Amino acid sequence: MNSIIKLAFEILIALLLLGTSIFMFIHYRRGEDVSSLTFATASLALFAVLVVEISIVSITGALFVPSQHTLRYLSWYIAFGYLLYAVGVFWSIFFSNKRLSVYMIPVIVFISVLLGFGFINEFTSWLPKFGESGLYVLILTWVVLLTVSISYFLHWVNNKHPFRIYMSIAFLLLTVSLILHTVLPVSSFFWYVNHIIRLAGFSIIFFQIQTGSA
Amino acid sequence: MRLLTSLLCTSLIIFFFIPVQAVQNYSIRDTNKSSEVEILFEEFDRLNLLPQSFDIDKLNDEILLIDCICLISRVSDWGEKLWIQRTSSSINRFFFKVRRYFGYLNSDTDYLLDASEYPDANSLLMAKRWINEVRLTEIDMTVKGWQMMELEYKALSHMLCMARIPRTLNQEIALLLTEIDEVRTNILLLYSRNDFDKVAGSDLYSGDRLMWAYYLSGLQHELLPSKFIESSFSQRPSPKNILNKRLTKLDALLIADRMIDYIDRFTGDVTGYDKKLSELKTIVTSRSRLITGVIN
Repeated sequence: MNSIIKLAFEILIALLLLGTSIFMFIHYRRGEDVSSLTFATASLALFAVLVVEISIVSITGALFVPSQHTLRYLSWYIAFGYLLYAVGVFWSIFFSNKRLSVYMIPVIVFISVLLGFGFINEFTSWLPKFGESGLYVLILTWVVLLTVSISYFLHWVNNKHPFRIYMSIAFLLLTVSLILHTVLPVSSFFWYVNHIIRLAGFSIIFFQIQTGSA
Repeated sequence: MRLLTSLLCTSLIIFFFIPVQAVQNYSIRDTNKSSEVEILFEEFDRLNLLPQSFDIDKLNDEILLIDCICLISRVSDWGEKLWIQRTSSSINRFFFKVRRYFGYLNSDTDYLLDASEYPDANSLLMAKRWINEVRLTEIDMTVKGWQMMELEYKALSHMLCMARIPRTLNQEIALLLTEIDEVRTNILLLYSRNDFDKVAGSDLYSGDRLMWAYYLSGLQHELLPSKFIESSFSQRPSPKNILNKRLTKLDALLIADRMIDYIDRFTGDVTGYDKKLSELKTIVTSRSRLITGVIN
């Protein structure tokens, strides 16, 4: 049952990310902020990561066990996906309204494609088991996401626009969710709560951007 | 002339000896085929229920827990497929197929990673659904009869739950355990400890209660192979000999065969339920009409 719930959460989050990136592109098309293009690309990169995760989990329903390398690399792939998203969003905020923000787009696209190649055994066979080594990637992601949250908060202190405080809360929720993800055992009560927190974080981002560009 | 003779000899060898040898080989295999074990093995092979380590020549080897889990999972999956196949309503059939797909979904990458190390990884994926508590660290140990029955009961209870049958086999075992405890208390109250051997049912006291529960339930639901029942009753009505010994692969196949039979009976009942209900409704309606007509 928890697999179905997890898959449902991942599908919902993937859809929210897709929606976010679409509205961000619309936002850019209006010529309001060039950095929204970077935000959109980062969201799209994480969307791609989630689609891969969903498809790998989905094939188990048809009684197909993915290869050992695929399963081992999947945790790395997801962790790097979140890190890439966090860095992309951070870059778009840090260089908000500046042309420099756009330079990150080819980097995000290139790294996304490169991460995809990691599923080929020969390229990433040197990677250790996710366990403790993967924790460093997650810690880096927490730091970047927390920085994004603080950035939005400082922007809000400067100009008390509700959009900024909501975004700050959303990224704080994502940080908390990722921290809890490494601590909580699967299918415990708080494991479900953690998924709800993550979904709430992405929902707030989606609704804020959707209302902002509507 | 020599050439002709050698040609004749060669042709004789080709056209006579080789076919004769082939026929002889065939007849040898044919006689073996008649043995019950081979028929059972072939039947399991035909239904694609055999775990990868099963070989016709090694059926007397002790079975490992992994093979036992794989065998039960495969039989359970076959049972569900049979259930889908026997469902007449196409909507229900579609619903069952969707349920089967979602039932096997597994997002536990740690479990999948461990399972992928084994050649029969698909069966271990099935096992997560049917048996649920599969610890991959313990699957290299040998299995006793009642332990296999326990796994079998878990899978069958899951299937009964899916059919929304309120009383599952596991619940029945729990009930039997309390009954056994009651019998033990009664024996204790009525007889002194020295008289136990003379009392009917004293085995209930001395034997493992869990083993007894599986034995009695297995007898009730015809889940024990006849070979097991006969051998135990010819000596003494005790499950000690059969359910406490380590199983061979052949024993496991015999138990799985009973499981197939149980599923066959049970799926037949469930799928026919709607049809029988509608038939019953028609009979009741026609009778009530008849009664109303008579009264009027």
